[in-house]
Amino acid sequence: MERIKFSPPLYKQRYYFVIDLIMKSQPKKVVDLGCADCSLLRKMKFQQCVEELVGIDINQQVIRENMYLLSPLPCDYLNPRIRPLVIKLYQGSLIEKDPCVKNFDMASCIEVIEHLELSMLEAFSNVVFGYMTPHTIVISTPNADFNQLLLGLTGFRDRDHKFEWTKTEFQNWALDICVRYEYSVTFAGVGSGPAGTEDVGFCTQIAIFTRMPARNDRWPNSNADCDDIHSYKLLHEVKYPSYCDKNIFENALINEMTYWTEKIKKHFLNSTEQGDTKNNVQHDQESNEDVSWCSRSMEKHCVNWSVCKSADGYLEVQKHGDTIHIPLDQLFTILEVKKICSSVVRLKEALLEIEQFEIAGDNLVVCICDNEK
Amino acid sequence: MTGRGRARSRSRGRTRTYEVQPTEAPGVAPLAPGAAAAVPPAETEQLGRGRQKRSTGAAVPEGEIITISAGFQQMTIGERGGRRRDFHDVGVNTRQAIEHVQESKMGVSGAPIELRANYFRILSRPQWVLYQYHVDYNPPMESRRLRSALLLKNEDLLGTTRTFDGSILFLPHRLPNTVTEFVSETRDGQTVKITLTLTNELPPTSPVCLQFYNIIFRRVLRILNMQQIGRHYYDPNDPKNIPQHRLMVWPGFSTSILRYEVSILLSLDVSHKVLRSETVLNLMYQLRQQCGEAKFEDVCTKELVGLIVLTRYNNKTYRIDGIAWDQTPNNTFSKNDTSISFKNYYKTQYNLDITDNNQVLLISRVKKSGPGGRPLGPALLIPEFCYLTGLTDKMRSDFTIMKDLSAHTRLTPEQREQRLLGFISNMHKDSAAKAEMANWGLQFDNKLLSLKGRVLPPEKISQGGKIYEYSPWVADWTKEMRGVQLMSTQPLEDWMILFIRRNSDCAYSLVQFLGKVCSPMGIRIQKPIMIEVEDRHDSLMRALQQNVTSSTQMVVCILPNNRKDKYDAVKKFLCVDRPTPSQCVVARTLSKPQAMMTVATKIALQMNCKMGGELWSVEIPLKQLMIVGIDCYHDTTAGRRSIAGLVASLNQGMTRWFSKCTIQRPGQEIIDGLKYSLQVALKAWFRHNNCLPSRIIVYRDGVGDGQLQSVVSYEVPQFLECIKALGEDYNPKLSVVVVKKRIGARFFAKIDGKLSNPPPGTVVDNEVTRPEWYDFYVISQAVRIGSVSPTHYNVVYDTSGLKPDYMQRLTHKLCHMYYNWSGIIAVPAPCQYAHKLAFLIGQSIHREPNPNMDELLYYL
Repeated sequence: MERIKFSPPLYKQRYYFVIDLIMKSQPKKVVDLGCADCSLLRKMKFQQCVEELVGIDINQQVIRENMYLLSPLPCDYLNPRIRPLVIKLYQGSLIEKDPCVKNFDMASCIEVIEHLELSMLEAFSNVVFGYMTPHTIVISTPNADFNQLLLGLTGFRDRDHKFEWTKTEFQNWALDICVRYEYSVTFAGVGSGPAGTEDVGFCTQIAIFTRMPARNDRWPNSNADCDDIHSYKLLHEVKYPSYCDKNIFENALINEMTYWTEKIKKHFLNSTEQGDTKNNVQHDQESNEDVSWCSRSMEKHCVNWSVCKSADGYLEVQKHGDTIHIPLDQLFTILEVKKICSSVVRLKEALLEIEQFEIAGDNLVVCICDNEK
Repeated sequence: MTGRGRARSRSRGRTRTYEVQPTEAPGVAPLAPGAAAAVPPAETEQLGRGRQKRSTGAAVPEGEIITISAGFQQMTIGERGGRRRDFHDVGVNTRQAIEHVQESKMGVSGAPIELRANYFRILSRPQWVLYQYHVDYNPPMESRRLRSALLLKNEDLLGTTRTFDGSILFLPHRLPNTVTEFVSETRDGQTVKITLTLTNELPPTSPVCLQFYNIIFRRVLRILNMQQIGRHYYDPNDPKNIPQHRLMVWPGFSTSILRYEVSILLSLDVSHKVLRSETVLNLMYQLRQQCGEAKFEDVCTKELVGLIVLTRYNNKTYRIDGIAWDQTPNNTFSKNDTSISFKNYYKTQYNLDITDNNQVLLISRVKKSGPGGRPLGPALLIPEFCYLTGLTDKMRSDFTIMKDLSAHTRLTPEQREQRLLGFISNMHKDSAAKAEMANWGLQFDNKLLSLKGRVLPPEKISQGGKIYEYSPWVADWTKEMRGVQLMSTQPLEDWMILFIRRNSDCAYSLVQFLGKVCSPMGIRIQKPIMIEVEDRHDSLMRALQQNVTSSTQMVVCILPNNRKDKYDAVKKFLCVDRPTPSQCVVARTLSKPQAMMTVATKIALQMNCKMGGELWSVEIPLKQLMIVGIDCYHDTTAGRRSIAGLVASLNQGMTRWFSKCTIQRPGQEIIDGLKYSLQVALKAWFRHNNCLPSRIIVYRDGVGDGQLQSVVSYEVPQFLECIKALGEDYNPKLSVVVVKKRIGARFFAKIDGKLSNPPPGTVVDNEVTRPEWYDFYVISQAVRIGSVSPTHYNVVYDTSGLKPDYMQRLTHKLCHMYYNWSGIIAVPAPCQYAHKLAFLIGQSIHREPNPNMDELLYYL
């Protein structure tokens, strides 16, 4: 028999499994129990749905050495997230309670429980299922049945493992949890053995627990008495730039608005000076272009442009004395503006709040008095 | 004035500009469709090490540099492991071979001045010895991460304060045994024997310890939430927006801790990073819309190649080396023996959706080698995920952009001090940063370093039998030279002006004003041949071919606009095919009647220099001295050819120069060209002086960070050999001075209670110089806005026996001799001439110019 090699490596398969789950269920608050070197968290932070990401590990040194890897990248500042994201890392024990991770949408606990003494497992279940009560919790652990396929393995897969469960043992434990804490469970796994060994199961077995919908009513203020006990130590907290931050939002909006109004203004002045002939020429050129690699998306990006250019009356930029009025609807067609503001109403509200912009009705008023020259 | 404006803006972007040769799009040819080697760049834990600029200077292949400094290479450690190049040229000891500066390298003349510098003292640093262990794995482990994880399982033994780069472990304490063995286990149960062997005990002053301090300092910067881009750190939380150009500027710092003359200092300088909030894809859309489908590929290549981008998914920087026109996100690459499309890869790895599936990909050649030393193939990048950093050439030549930018980036000495002190105080306030430094016992001063400098007296300028002085603070004698005859002039008798009909007024007005300004200068001027050409593509060139003869002294072309191709064509024809001094003027410069006197004066001076006239001189006491200036121009596109310009003096007064430019052929060292140039320069000197010079001083500009070693061990011996070749008994004194303008040092002087720029002529030769070098700083020039940048001079070879004081003063004198600027410039004139020469050849001519021009400053 050949040595089994997983591709991609098993640890990556486990991560992809969790990431897939996040993509499917779109949780906002996610906690990784036993986050170790934060490598799963580093994958999770790319999920735009996640707004709060927490990692807990008993070993603070390993967190300290890796925590800056969770810092925002330069591009996160250039292209802020639509929704906020805060990442917090705690040193703490999974058999102690702390309100900072209560009622999360998802918790992951990947290859962690086998490092706990069997005697501690009860306390762990009580904390995770009885106190933290995440909506979904995904737990993975080695499948002892599979060990026979791992050549040369005697004993456990890691020196620090306190136990390795068979498929039956794991499932019995999980089902018992469900009964006691009102969760439902489904089983899965990653890492299949060679053909013919299907009944052994996966190399890593995974249980996905989901809180029963009715549970909250019957466990009204469960363990609220512990809520002021903080047993975890906050090691690191990092806030990602997002448009939910008022400063970032306003700055981005000012930038986009200044850029585009400047462009529209220039174009408007040009076209009124030179008459319609030039516009028509440009228009013709555009329609003659071949449709090739980027032209389709280009239309999307430059829709505001063609609108400004077309001389067929679609453009509603109007001159009022020393100012031009640009309809907000028009500005909202700009992709970048759309990204920052969810709706025209929001755009108007935001612009009204920023001093340097003047709004008249549903128009942005731009001065065309030539202060440049 | 305006004439200078054009010439200057042309040469502004030195070394960053790239050649316009669309036909040779680099990197595209070798990439077959679906090339297996091309992989998207992976996310790594390593910080971005992307080099911001192609380093300048001698183009010695990297491998060779490594062999020279192999001994030192061993000791270089990166923050998270990985070898990196030493940008501070530590370990190049040149002073020890120069006898007369063993005791002191300080000068004496000039008035003392109290200065501040952007350096901070280290108040306390670790006193303990650092223990270096070699870590061996059996069986060998390839992945650095795994090696690290295995080792760290034994924390109880090693302690928490440590640094490990994958093979070398540094500990602040000694393990009980010299050789320590233990067994660790991988995740899948493999047992690995780890052996730690003590290889070195490093005292606190050893260079490795210094690197160590730098690593700790970088950690501190990261704790302060500074973002590393390239080599420096920037603050993302306080961007300065310039929305009208879609730019933002991140303020930041460049830092280094090094051993200086008397102590170890932290050098801290303000740095700015220009970023753009749009992606490369957006830029491509815009370009395509502006230039249309037909020219798109050319324009796009020209605009993008050479730019540095950031990606959305990791914190590395990449240089765009080319565009893969045949690749889209739907193409696949192989990863772990399976093939995956770029689209799917980015979705699964980073949850990033590609919206435009038809975009072409960018090519970046990754220099770092992969696991096991195998070179990595070029990385393919998705334009949609790439953000641009820095400026393009087009932006750099855009006056309004540069003006808006400089509002944010030009800092007065006081603003600069404020930034630096603000940073240091933030660092002292932050508890996590304080803790990190306390762990290792590091502590920094909170005020700028004070030191003493000297201000050299202003020089006397002699011109046409008259001697005058300039105002020391202004360092400019434009006013003083008005109405004074030039030192020597060339008559304008057989010359012509070419212009198009639209500009005929300009042309006649220029002739009229030249007539007015020339006679006070002593230039005899006749009426030129006026040639009106049609405003058509090739009519100007045809007119040149028909009218320029071997007796033509000067050709003036009035160009209707500043389109580069026309300028290039004129220059190429008149430098290579029919060697004649020429002067190009953009018509707009001549359009303002009130500025015509100034413009005509400037043009007259420039034409006189180009034809071999001399303007002024300063007193040079040394006899039989030949000064040589060298600079390089690096072509960032098209095979990256380098161009070496060499300019050598021909007379005692340093008023006549011999210029030679060589283009580096593929596989050839830049020094080969320089050797040849130096040889012909010496022969030219012989022709003019009937002897060979007894002293030669070479000012070598264009040496990049980390390339000093190659100058010392390759170029200097070649210079010596070249001199030897002229005769066995010819044994002149040789000095080689490396000139550097882009440095992190800044000096300030307290003047009337205000922190200001030091006066022109300020020399600094202590405290912030390096003990292993014979080096000094001179601020020769005056600036009106912002902080002045001192020039660093490093004498790497010197058998002249000249006292440091003479060397410093001679250097400052030479900064007075640049004829295109009636004032003091930042570098010795021959360096600036060499720069202008190499730039003209690299940008416009691309061929070696006709030797008939060698003794003229035709490239001004």
